[in-house]
Amino acid sequence: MNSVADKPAWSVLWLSLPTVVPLLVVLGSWFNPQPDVWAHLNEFVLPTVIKNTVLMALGVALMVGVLGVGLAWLTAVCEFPGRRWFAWALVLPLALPGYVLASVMVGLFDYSGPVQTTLCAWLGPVNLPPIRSTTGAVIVFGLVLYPYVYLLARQAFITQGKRSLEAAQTLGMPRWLAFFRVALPMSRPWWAAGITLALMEMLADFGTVAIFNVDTFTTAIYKAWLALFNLPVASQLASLLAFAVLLLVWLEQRAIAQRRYAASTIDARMERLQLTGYAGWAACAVCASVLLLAFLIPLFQLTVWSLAVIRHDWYARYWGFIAHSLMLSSLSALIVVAMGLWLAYAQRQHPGPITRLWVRISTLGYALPGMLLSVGLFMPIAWLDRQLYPLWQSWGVDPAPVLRGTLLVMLLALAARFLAVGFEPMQAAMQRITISQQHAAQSLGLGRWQVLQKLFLPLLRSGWLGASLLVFVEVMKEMPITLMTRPFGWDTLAVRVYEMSAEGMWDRAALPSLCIVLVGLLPVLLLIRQTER
Amino acid sequence: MQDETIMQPHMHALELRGLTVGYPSASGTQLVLSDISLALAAGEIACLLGPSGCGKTTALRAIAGFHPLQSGQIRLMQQEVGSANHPMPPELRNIGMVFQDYALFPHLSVADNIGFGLYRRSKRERDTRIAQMLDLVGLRELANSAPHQLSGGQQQRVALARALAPQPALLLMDEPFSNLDVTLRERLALEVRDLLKQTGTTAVIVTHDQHEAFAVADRVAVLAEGRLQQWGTPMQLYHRPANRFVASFIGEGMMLRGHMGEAGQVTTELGVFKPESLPDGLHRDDPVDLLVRPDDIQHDDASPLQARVLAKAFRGAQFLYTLALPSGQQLLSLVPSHHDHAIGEAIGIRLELDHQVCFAA
Repeated sequence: MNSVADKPAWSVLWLSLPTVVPLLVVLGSWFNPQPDVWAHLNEFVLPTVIKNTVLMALGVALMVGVLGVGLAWLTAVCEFPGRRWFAWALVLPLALPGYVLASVMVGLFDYSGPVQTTLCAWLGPVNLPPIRSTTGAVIVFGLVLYPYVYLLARQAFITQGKRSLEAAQTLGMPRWLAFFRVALPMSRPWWAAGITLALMEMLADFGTVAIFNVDTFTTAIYKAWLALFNLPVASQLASLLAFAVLLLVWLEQRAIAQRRYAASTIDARMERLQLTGYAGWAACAVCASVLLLAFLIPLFQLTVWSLAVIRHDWYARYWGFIAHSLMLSSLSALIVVAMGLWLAYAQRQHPGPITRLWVRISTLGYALPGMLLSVGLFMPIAWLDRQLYPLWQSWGVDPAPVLRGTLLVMLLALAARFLAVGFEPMQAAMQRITISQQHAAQSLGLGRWQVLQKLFLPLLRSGWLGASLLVFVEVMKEMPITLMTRPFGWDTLAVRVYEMSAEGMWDRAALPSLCIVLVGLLPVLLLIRQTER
Repeated sequence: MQDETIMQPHMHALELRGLTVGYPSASGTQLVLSDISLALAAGEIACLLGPSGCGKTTALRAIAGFHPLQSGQIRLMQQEVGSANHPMPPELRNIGMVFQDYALFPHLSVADNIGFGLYRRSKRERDTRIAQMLDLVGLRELANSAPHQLSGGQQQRVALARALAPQPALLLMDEPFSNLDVTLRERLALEVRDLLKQTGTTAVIVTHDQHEAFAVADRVAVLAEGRLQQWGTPMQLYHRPANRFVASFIGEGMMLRGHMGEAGQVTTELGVFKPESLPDGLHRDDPVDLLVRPDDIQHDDASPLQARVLAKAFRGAQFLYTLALPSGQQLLSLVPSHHDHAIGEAIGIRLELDHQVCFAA
């Protein structure tokens, strides 16, 4: 390795700022203690918040684990009617943001909702358990987040093949026992990482818990910021969330590290376990009911509601929401892909441990809740605004906050949150370009920039196309960052969903929800095409 | 242990009767194996030998129970363990298997891998057996290591110990040496043979390498295109090949053209021979081919028979000469390497054909 490669890429330090600054800000917020507010929080807020968070974490882990691993096992190893179709269709719920499913669920199951009223009409007065509860939230999270576990566990079951199961069988172990003794522990590095990802999403969520009226860290931060106007307390709350999330990141990285030793031989003529008769139809029914609950019924209900309201709801302001959503998504995609390319290229040219560590830190945002990033970036930008105040004045600009009034905070927070989404496809594409291809280009007299321009950019095309699509859709679905840091009156589709849901108008929330889901289907279909190959 | 097998010479540990296996395909069923029948005595080691795609691995998987039979029967210790109508699940067959990639469980230590098949036994019993097996394969000090920390040869021994721990009635090994360094293979093949003999294990080993098969096996089944070509000892395969395929697949050699003469005699350019057995339906003056191995041709300067050197390959102790007879027919000859002849030179040869095998031309 030459000396240039051993040197760390300092430019990566700049790219890590949107991630590192908010983390330092929320952790540093304890230097500004707020004893009065904390006395109140300790007594009235924190016990509920912690209890809800722990209960939901346990429930969601269990539910995504059972659903994800179980469905992956059925579609990866068994054969039953409709298996090929379910194998990809079960990924579809990824297109549904949690808050959309939550608004549909509440609309359907609440006291005045159609399910309850129908049941009452048939059976007299009945009381369903209240849907707006931690249980309701766990069910929604379970249904929208299980695909994370499903995709990873399926990959594990396919790559591990049936060889180890056969080995267990030749040792006298029946198949169902071999599932628990061999397949499950061997695939742990995959499904455990999937569960930690699902839990990160759960901790980051704001929309779902807001709709279900469940108090969690994100709703507490929201209230501290917008009701108490106490930014230090908001960021102190965010720092507690940061600890929980960093613990999950550590668990996830540990799981991924264990994958190195797991056997991976793809057996081309893998024969599937035939589920015949009742067993086959039972498997089919399980897959069908998950798909119905998590995707088809919500989509159907959204369509019905949208058609009902579209005539008088589709007025000029809608074009504004759509334009804002599209603009924000495209801008973020552009920024993230540029940053992702920079990171991937820097890591390629300087493959030392320091660069690797900084790239890891820069892409940590996927685990950091949007609330945390919003608070952590808003505070320093507001401070910067105050410092620049005299300068603005001398230029004759309106002395109202300048930077805060722009998209700057929102774009920085979104870039930090989704940098990993943009970086990983780029990194994967970069790894397919061999070192000798790069050396061949260099030996033909191309300089650094020419190598980037003539070799990497064309060969990375699939990488940056995929990355920009993913970021585009993630930003469109994103709620807390957009909600907290948008300039006044700058509403997007996701904000519209929140506002309508907050007022209990589930049918009017359906139209923007449906737009988001339809756009959200694009990358899911792309993902399905990739995994099917 | 070996005494036991000698005491029951007629007891067949494994019997295949008309084993036929197929894969479903667009046009009905495509047969991979047809009508394979053979019997293996307890304690014997058999090799399934053949070129790639001949169906040997399918045969092994069918015996283990991972592939359904089209027809035929598999019997183990006089009991049926599989037929087309009554497939017994693999876990009930009491057949151990060493997979080509070993398929060790990465989440378990060496000791736990070996003890995996003893999951129904008490902990004490299991620990005793694991210790025995570790001693047997000489890996006692690695008991707590993870599989990925072992070398290829050590992993193979763990796989073998794991398969043998539950004392299976039959052990199957799929290309057991193909993942190992070439220089290690021969030594390990002999080690495996010793270990199997020491434990009195009946085993079936799949390989495509005849040297491996000859080193390990008591009996060899040569398979080609899904059919059993010959079932016999290594000596029989080499010296009494049943057909042209076996003759050319096993060892080196050339066919010498001749004609049928009087009373079962064969006349060739190198003399007149009388093979012990002849193919049916041959008449006087019919053309036949006589199998001549390189070791059948002796170099003899005094011999009146002269052949010209066409090509030579140096093999250390010997040269393998490709020779042309005056008629242009070619033969191979192994000659000690101090007889270094130039290409084009004529040398004296003598034919010493102990095993006379011929086929209809």
